[in-house]
Amino acid sequence: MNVIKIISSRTRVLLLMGIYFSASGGAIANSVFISPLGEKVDSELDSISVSLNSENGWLLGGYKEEEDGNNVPYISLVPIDGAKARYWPLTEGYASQLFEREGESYVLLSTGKTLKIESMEISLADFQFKPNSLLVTDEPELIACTKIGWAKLSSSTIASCYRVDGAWDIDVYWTRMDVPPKVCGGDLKVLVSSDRQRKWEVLVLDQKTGKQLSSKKVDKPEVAASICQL
Amino acid sequence: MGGPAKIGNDVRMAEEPTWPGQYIIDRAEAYRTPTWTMSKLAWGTKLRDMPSKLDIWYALPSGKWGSLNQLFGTATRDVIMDMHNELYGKRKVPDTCVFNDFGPIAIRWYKDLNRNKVLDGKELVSGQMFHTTPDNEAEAALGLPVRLMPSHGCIHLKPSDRNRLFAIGAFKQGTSFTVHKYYERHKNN
Repeated sequence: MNVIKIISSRTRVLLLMGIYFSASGGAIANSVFISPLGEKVDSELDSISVSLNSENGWLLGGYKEEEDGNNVPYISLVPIDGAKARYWPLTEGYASQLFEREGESYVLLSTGKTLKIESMEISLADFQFKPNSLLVTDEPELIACTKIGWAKLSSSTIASCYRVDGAWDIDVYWTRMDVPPKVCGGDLKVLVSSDRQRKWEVLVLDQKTGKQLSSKKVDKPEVAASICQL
Repeated sequence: MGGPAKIGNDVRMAEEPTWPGQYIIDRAEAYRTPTWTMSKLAWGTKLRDMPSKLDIWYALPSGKWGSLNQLFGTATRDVIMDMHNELYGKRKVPDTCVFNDFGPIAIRWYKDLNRNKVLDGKELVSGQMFHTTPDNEAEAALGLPVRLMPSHGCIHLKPSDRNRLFAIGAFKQGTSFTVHKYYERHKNN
């Protein structure tokens, strides 16, 4: 099962479309979000970007808004047993993805660092990603691709896909954020472009070795096309 | 500051020298292009934070609002707030777009092939232009030193220089100017 797919797209959208805000005149507003199971989860977060139904409860990544409009990134754990929720402010980056691996829950930060949630506590995990990574799959190995910078003068001008344990790392010019890399039929598929985005190609990579298994030239994909269908 | 003296290696669009020659100013405009993600929106476009939808709305010319998630084809709010934090030190969705790579206004020019000071015939507006950058606009707004970065071929201006050049009429339509070769140096008489 591709857990990341569920976290990144389906759950993210379904959960967060259900968020609504309760009236609050204070600096800290409470929000309630509706899980895909229909349950209401109270949270002090003002907005929630990512969520994961973990063994310990709802793991949330989002923000608390300060009076001056600044949004402080937070991780929160809302226990299943009704115990008091925990909130951890982030000093750098924001929570970009949540994932589970071997029964443990992790937070991938935009900086590339990962945090581990264990026994209602949070700690720095051993997994080190590149900044601005998209976790594509978490099994059998962690495989991620970096996102190219949106700004013209961004320092991130080369995108790459890699195995987080360092087994392989290849440069791929992945530019279409609406068509992210995915594992299809056991292989990693990445849409790349060349010649000022006039030529498009789908690369098929071996998950274990990163070796290019095949490539196929394609027409410019429709918006939000599924890479597995190309 | 112009582009590098030699072709660069940015795979998105290789940096190129600012081509030497004599040019004529055509117009100044809030530039938009789908080539660069952040330049799909004109500088100053009104934005509305939509935290409950994990989206940002942007004002359409019709007066209605469009979804930035739809325009970009991906979730945008985290990234936009992060970019604003990098530029202005506050993680928030600004009221207006301050991310267009070409700044509030780009000054367009062309090579006047038939020397009549009018854009006509086979003449085309150059893809190279004068403009500021979001980084430099933020530095200027915050009162920080403005540090110019090499371009992809355009001529990057400091916001204060852009304003001064506008004020003295340097960007009036029909104004002629010269881009010198990289090795050429100004000599005081």
